Amino acid sequence: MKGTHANLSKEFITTSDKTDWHNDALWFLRAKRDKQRDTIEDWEKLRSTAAAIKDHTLSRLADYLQTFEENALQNGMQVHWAWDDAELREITASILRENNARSVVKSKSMLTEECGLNPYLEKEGFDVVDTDLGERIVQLRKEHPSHIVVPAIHLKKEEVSDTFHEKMQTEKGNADPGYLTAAAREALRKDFIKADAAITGVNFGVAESGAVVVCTNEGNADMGVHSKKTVIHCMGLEKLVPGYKELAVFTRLLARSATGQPVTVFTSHYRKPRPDVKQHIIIVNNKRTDIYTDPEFRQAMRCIRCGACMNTCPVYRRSGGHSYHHTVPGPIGSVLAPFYGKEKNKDLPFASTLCGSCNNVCPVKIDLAGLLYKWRQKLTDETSADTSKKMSMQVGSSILKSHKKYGMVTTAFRWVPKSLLQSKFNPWNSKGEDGKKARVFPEVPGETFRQWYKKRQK
Amino acid sequence: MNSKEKILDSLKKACGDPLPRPEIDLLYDKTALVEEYVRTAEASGTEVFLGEEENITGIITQWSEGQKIQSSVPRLREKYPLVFDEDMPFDQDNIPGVFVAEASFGVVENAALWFTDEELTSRLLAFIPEKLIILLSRNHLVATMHEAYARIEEGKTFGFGLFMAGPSKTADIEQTLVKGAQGAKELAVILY
Amino acid sequence: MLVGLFVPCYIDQLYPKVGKDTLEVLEKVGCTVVFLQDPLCCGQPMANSGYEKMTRGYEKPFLKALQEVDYLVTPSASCSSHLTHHLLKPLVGKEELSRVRELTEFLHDVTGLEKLKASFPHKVGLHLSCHGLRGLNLGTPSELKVPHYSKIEEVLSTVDGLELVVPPKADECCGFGGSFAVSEAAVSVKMGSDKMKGMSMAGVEYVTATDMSCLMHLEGVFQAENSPMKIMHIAELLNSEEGGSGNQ
Repeated sequence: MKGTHANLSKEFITTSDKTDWHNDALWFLRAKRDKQRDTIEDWEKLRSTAAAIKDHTLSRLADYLQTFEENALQNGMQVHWAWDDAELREITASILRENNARSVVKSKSMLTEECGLNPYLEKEGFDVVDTDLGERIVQLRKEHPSHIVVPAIHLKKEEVSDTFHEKMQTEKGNADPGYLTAAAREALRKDFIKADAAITGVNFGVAESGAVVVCTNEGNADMGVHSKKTVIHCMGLEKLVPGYKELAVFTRLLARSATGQPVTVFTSHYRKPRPDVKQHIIIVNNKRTDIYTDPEFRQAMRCIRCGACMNTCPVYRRSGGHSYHHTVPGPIGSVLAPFYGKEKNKDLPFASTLCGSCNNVCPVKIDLAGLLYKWRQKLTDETSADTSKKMSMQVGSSILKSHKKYGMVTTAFRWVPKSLLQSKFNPWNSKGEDGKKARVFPEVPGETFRQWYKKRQK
Repeated sequence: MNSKEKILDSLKKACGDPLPRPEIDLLYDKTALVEEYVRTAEASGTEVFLGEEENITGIITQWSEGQKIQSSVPRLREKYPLVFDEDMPFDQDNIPGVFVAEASFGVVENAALWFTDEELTSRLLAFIPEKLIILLSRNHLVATMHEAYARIEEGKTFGFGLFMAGPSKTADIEQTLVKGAQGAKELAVILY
Repeated sequence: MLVGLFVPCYIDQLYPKVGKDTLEVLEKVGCTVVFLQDPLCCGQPMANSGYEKMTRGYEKPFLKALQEVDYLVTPSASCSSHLTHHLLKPLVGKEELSRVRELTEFLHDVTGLEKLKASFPHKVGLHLSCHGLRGLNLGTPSELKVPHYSKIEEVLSTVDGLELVVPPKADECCGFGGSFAVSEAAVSVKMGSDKMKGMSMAGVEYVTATDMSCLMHLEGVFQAENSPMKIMHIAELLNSEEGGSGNQ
């Protein structure tokens, strides 16, 4: 299979010199997160409180969604419900059409990425401009975000410079981030002026007040929301918290876990529309009820999309977000992805060493490694098997179950010449890009522990 | 069944027994220290002036370096009249060079300042000017977000509420921090 | 105290010395040790590859052993963690499970360290294997805000002359990960190579861990990259008399 994580990550490692740089860039976020953690005395209790709040909210999710809708309606918002990605796209397009909106400014929303909103709207003749700088960069390059918080983390400034030069006529070769950001600001300002409508994602929905909360560092969501007459907030149905008291816990955790900031620069609470403004909230399911219905996997719905599991993941840092071939990459992405296609995403739960670092940074304490392990068991049952792997496992397990076979293999193993064990026929002896051995199989000792012990007994 | 009914129905069928709403019982130092606020604010890229009621306008004038100042603060409106027109939000003559507002309160742990429609008058004013000056009373500091939201809950309901912690920024290009991504490029707080 | 020693398959086959040293260390601290002949493997290679169901029956010899010995000890945090978190977990109570121990943990929690006596006058880098650290809580992982402790460091502090170095990112995964090492070889080797660089920068002669599987992977990378660093399982260090004053 060409597009598997193993192949894509190999490409990322061997065909680019960026692996170490990418690794360091993400580790920088993890290190900043650790510093923020240290400023809070009962950090671990904050995490367990957050997990408990999410579990409580999920256990009454239908009630909270109804409360949220009632309050939002009372505040003058319009509320829509989308069963799946197609319905989100259709609702969005129809709102835009009803309001004669042709062009849209959109702030970061992994949900709309997941639902393929941009390509659909473009096909339907709308202009869509992503206004988060990272998302704008990947949009201009016709790529997808490689990380949910820092979408362009896979790109070096020289690549951004080339893209901007081509698309926005910035100076050729000027890769100064300050210069490039200023250029994007200027260009996006024009897009803000031109746009007829604004779309945002949602970080939290507050059931008891009907407010939607959007967190950004750039202020790009607000630039659109407060300047347009048609506003759409797309919210995954798991985003609810009961009230402000609970919201406090999450605003303390989100940015600290994500980028190591004590809070995002802007935490905007949209409750009532401005006069003459039509403000819509679309509550989106798109397979979330499937995750919800599975008792083992429901905890994955606690996720607040902070990206901490990606930043700490030693595999993600070295393989890049695109190697996960799913909207949300990294550990949480690999837990969610099979719900969106078991066959096409069956490799992802295996793209991990199950080291468990993600579990420990997760602000809502999702047992990510445990869920990946569970998926592995399910996927070998429920998807087409990798025959050679299955066979080797069958052979291995039968040997390790039978003393007779184990004894025979012990003897046979010692007849295999070292040259063969250390040759390319042994998959352990991985080769690097230069064809040089990258890992060598150990020398096999003359006697096993069992044989030695037998002698010792005599 | 429409989508709403389908969603609610699926959730209700699977939800199981409701879990109790957890107590939020977390440790934090409830003293809101000015020095600590200054530290977190400066770390967020905010310039902090320790002022007194009497020298507020002096600081504003000096920091504004001759740019057009508009203010939503009632006691400053006469001196810095607010002419921003929400219907022409991007009109250059309309946008203040410097916008002066008063925060409802500030949060020590993360330097977040709370505003609602009442303090901002126009929501966009918190984002569109290049420079912001925010007045913050030393008596209006709370230690953490827990107290902040308790205060929000006790206060008047709002249409739009905003925590702002520093000038707009991005690190989307190679993790290099750049101030002034979309919103204000500079933010000053006068703590009085 | 009667200890049943479980020597995992790959240690039996490839690193028998680790089994011998474990046995001798356990005897040194006063345990009566029987080698458990019956169990060959904890089932982890299959289970981590998604074939847990192929390991049905693997639990039997372990359950039998638990009835016969006071403790079941193994020189592999990863196997111990698989036994206690997966293979045996649904079958036996907590108390019973707590009689399954990884070597370091056993020495630290059960026998105490007084009788340990070893000597190894070298600079040794510690690799904190994931299953030992995050699975068995042998120390504090860098992600959590909890009071610092390290059972491994305490145990190794009994070795004369050993200069222990805990380099930055000592608790980052080495990249082994069972079948991951082969199915995701590029990332696996890259992780191993980065671990090697970290250790090499710390200027250590040896790298140790509670898991031979991590060390086997690292040894393979060291060898491919012609690194002079060597690997030593913690049991080998605890049973070393190199440069000692004859402590028989």
